[in-house]
Amino acid sequence: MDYREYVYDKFIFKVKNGVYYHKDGCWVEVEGNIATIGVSDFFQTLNGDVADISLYGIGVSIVQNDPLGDIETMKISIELISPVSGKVIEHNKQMADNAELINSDPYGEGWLLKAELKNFESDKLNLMDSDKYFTYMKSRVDEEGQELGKE
Amino acid sequence: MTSKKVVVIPCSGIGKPIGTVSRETANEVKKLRPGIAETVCLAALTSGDEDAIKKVNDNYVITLDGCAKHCAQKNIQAYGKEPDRNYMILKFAAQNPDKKPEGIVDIGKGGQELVKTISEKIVSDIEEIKQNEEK
Amino acid sequence: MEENEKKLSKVGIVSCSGEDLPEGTISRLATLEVLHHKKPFDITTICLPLYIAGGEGDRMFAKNHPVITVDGCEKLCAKKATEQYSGKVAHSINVRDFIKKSDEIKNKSNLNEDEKRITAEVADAISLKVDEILKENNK
Repeated sequence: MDYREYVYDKFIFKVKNGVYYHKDGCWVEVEGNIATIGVSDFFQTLNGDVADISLYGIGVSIVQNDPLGDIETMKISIELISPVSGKVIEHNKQMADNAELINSDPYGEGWLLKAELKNFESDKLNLMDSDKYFTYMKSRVDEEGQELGKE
Repeated sequence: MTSKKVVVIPCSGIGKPIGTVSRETANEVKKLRPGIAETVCLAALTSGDEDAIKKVNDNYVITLDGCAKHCAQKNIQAYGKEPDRNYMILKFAAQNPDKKPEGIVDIGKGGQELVKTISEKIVSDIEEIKQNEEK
Repeated sequence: MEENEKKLSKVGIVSCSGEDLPEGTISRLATLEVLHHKKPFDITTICLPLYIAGGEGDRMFAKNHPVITVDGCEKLCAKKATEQYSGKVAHSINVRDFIKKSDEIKNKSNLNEDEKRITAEVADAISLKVDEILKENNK
């Protein structure tokens, strides 16, 4: 996997190349008409250790900028905002017993769900590529940085 | 019958309430099973302290990890040993959402209840380890 | 790695967290006092076991920034591990140096008055050292 990294204090924030990012924390990787969705490294670091996750069910429609589920960490309960519109076709089965993969491997084994896309060309207009996201993430890190590591 | 003890090694997570839960659970288990359960400083293992390493090698080992970094487990594995049991405090917290630790310095009532729940589970597993030893 | 940008000049604090001794709790609580209240913008805590458990960020921070170690006993685990994995330590504090013969040190939680006083003194000592190091580095 190809990453860019941004170092802030003791934190190394990774941004995976070749995927798109939503400003509210989810990334999306597209192959054909299928999207794989997860949360970014910045999102998992900021929000803390994942205790539980619940996602919209198989066959359920998701809409860009609307929730696709909830995530509960030791710090916060937060809605996950969908980066794309489509239909959920698969969940990552590992999430049931190993939700901590979201923290340890957010771009790899910590993926959340797959969706059949409705119109990714339209969705893309509201997403950031990895370069733009890296710049955006840096500014967010600078804003939130003082609170990192203090739960 | 061997006199092997059960060494309980918590993570140190200084930045997280579940790190404190991990520490307090280890101390609670030691109180509940005096003479059988002991603790070893994870910091001592990290720095290569010979007494700590010997204790780990000569006894059963239980590791308590607060989060996905698995510091306690990995520090034991670094010395070529696999813990006899490994517990993820985070999983207990997920299963007991009404027992959430409040802070790092003071885990509060919820945190204390979580400590109690985890300690009871560990003590039960210690009994099992010791029973299997006698067979 | 395409980019590696360092941000801010801070001091790292590596605290032992020794479960075996009450002094480990004092070390930990004093460090947290500095992190949360006394010097929230000037320090970063580094988790000692992460030196082995894959904390690349923690190790790198300790290599590139001055580090104060806070130990609870003469084993000096925090100092030794930092020297082994990251290099020279800027300053080493031992909680035992703050304990008087008359002090009652016995609790690993719910500290008594002696233990609270010592925690505060260690926190003050850490804070003073942080100021000195930052002043020296920013000349």
